[in-house]
Amino acid sequence: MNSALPTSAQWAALMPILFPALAAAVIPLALLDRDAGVQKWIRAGVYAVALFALGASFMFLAELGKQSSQPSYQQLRLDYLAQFTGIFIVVAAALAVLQSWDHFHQEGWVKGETISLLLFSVSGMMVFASTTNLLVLFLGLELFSIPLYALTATLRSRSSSSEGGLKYFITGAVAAACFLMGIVILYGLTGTLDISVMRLQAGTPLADPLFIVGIGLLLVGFLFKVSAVPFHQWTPDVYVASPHPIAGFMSVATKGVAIVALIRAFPGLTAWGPVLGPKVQGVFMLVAVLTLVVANLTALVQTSAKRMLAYSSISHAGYLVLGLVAGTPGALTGMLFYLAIYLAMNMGAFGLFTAFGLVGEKDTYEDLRGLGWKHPLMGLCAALILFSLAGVPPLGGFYGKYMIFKELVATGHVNLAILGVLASLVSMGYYLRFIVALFLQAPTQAQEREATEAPVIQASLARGTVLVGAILVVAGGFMQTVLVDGFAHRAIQGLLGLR
Amino acid sequence: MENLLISLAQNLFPIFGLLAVGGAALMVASRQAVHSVLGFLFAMLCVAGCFLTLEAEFLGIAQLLVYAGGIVVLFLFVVMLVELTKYKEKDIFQKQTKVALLAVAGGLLVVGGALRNALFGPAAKEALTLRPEITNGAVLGNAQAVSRGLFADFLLPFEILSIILLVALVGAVVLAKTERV
Amino acid sequence: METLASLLHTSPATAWMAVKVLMAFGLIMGIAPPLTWAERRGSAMIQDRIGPNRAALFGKIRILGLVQALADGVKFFFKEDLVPPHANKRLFWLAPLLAFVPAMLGFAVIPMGRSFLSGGTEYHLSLLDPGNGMGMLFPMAVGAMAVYGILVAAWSSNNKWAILGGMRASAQMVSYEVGLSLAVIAIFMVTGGYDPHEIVKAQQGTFLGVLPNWYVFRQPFGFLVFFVCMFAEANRLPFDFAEGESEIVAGFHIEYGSMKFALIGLAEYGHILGASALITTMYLGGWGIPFVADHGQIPVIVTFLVFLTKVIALCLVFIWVRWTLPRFRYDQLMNLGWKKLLPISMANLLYFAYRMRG
Repeated sequence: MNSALPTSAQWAALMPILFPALAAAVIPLALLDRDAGVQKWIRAGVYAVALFALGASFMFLAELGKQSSQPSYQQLRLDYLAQFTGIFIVVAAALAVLQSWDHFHQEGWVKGETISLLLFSVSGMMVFASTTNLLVLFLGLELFSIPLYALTATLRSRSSSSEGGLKYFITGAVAAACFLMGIVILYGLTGTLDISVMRLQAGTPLADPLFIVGIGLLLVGFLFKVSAVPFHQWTPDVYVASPHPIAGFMSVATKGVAIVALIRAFPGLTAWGPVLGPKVQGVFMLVAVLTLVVANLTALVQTSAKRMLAYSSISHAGYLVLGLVAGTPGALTGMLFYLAIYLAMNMGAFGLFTAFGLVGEKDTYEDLRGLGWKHPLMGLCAALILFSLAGVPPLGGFYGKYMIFKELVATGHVNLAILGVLASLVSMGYYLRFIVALFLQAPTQAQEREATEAPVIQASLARGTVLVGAILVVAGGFMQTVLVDGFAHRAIQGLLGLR
Repeated sequence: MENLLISLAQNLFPIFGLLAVGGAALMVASRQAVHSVLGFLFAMLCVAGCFLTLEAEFLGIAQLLVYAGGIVVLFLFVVMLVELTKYKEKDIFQKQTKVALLAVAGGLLVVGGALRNALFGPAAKEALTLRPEITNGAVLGNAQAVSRGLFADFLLPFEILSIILLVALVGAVVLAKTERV
Repeated sequence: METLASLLHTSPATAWMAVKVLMAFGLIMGIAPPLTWAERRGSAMIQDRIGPNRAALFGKIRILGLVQALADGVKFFFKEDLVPPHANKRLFWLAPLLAFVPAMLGFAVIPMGRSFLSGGTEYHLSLLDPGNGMGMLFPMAVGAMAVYGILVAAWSSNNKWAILGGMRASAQMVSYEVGLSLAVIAIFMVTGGYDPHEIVKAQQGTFLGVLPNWYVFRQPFGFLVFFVCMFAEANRLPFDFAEGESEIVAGFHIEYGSMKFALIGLAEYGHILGASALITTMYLGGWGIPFVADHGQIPVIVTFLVFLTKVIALCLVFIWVRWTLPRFRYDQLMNLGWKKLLPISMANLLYFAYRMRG
């Protein structure tokens, strides 16, 4: 019976997932003490435990990468792509945890359990990103979605919070149901749950129309998490409803793992054979075009900066899906690079709200007036991050887009590349509006008065994370070769080699 | 009479299946929340019946125990507590009804078209066969087969599921807890 | 068996099935009315009263008031069948059936006697033959369905007492089911299966030399939990929160009268019988005679009578407890269920799992 226990090599595959999960399981127990004096220390302890777990997970993944080992356990396989994604998620979560310390103290309430949920979500994402088994994929999806539903609705006193949480939950449940139905159909047709085995059976079942329905339902589930356009309506409401750090984490990590899962499921066009391949590509093309057009145009007319960032994150999903349309190894590598930069940009952008001490529902452009001059360093970081989001040349965001557009042109999708460039130009409009509000608009007198009366904003941790984001954005522009050759390229090579 | 019974027994699976769909339709269509829950219960019972006709007795009984005996009771409990009668007068599907019907019809067409092969193709006449390892007696019974699946082949998903349950608990705590520093 | 089958012009299997169905239903229907009598006379004895003794056949034959049950039956038939105007009519009709059917179904897998050979075929004294794959899970699952009868009756009556009673009953039944299941799993584990025939077989012989090899002695804590939970599942005092005369009048069946009420009442006694049969099979050796390891030579009818004796004795215990213990308060009930019985049954399960480690 003891042989059922994982061996040490198999434990290695589980460790990075177990660290956050264990920490998340311990944290709610620590919070049982209701004594006010002790609670302050417990809170600090909770954050320390969370950071420690994330750090341990990070170290472990980095060590695995250094030793070039790809451990696996049952349906879980921690290959290079999974390791890359794991580090991506852990970094995003660590930034979110640091920001949330400041944000929750600014808001005036701290529930330690939110950190626990965040960590559970991290483990779920890692599971989601490191398997090809559809069943485990679905469980990973649920494991990272359910905590996010609850996190969105944490602030019960605000009605928009409950609204966002409920919307997210219901739409998410429908998407999960579609995903599950797709799995059922595919399993019924092929008799396997493993999507990489499924691809190998490129014989009769692939021509079956039912197979296409199954793949379509799977895509609904994925694209919902990517928040690409026909399935994007939840995004703005949910991001606005969530606390700022959580919104940042959701926009980065959810999208990131969903894109990685898409890369895993649809690596290149030849993967699904001559019949299905072009069809899937057509779907991606349609989704990308819709996403770019709708998201960028809607983002232009927003009055809330946070809502604008939500639409901007939808539009970035469009650029990422464009990479899937091209489908070459170069494009997939570009997507991973894009994701890494996107992590820095969006965690930074959402972190700005905390760094400026904006609490409650103060997330409009009006609330941002003149803040750039008040906090010069943060203003500079904001400018860098926003220019990078728009894709201004020397910064990281530009190279992400460049790598994807280059492959698009190389595969003959010149129109799409042009559309992408146009979309970037449009996006310049709303990002500039953010910067204009920060630097060129003087605060109103009411705001001035409020600012003098309000206590000093405690946001050193959040400012640190924004600074890190800005540095990464700049570094991504000048030292992209390290990131691309060192990690992204190897991950994609490993994945395609597997096939 | 005997013939009728035999043909009835042979077609138990489609009968239960159709009844389950009927229960699900009742659940969606009825105005009273309690009626909806009872429709759901009926659908669950029929699904358990489907499992039984497929010689998956353990699964059928588990379905009864977990869904009919546990989950639906809680649904009914909550529905009765919340008392939705004041919304009874309102037509909750005011505008959506037609759109929803159209969408359902469209979905049925798509899936039905896709299922055409499976339903009326050459393979449709073949009888359902049990998995060979069960008929060969390699696995002793239902419970053994299920437990081997759960605790050996799919141990990892099983453990992930247990974490998901824990997450649901913590999530409920977060949503119910009052906010304070 | 063959002669019976040929008389009925069917196969022996069908004939035997018919016999078994008649037997199971006859048992429940035959025992339930005397049980009501036993309850009333028993309560009278315990409380030092006389109890019903007026009803008489032809004005003469009284038989200690046993005829009262008959009179009640006649009364139920001839009373007006009333549906309150504000009730939800369809569900109001459905509820007694929902209560009655699960109470009857639970018996389907209980073996009421030794299996025997006749004409080369083995016949079993349970409606479903062993190896049906459902085993003891079936009565548990069906027992779990009983709560719907109460909930639907409560809700459809559209009466505040009824709703209160239904709520309490359902919360109680759901809570106690958890401890119950965990206690039962320990038995399944030790037996190595959940088929009632296996469970009964595993309880034959002696334990420690002086006791019958019954699970009640081998797993006393499991038995304690199971026994208490069975009271809760059957909604009997001290767990009769669905009714609780002093607080919510008659609880969930306050609006019911005539035959519908009779069905609900029958369902209650069916539950008592079912609970007794379950306890007998799981913990008291089923149809097995204590200390006897090999039942091969013992006549079938003796094993059946042994089973019947155990069941009826347990039914009397149910009545005895009802009139001896006071009712719990609601929070005490929940405390007992979640904070005491559940940990006990968990510890019980873990202990036996530990003992079974490979």
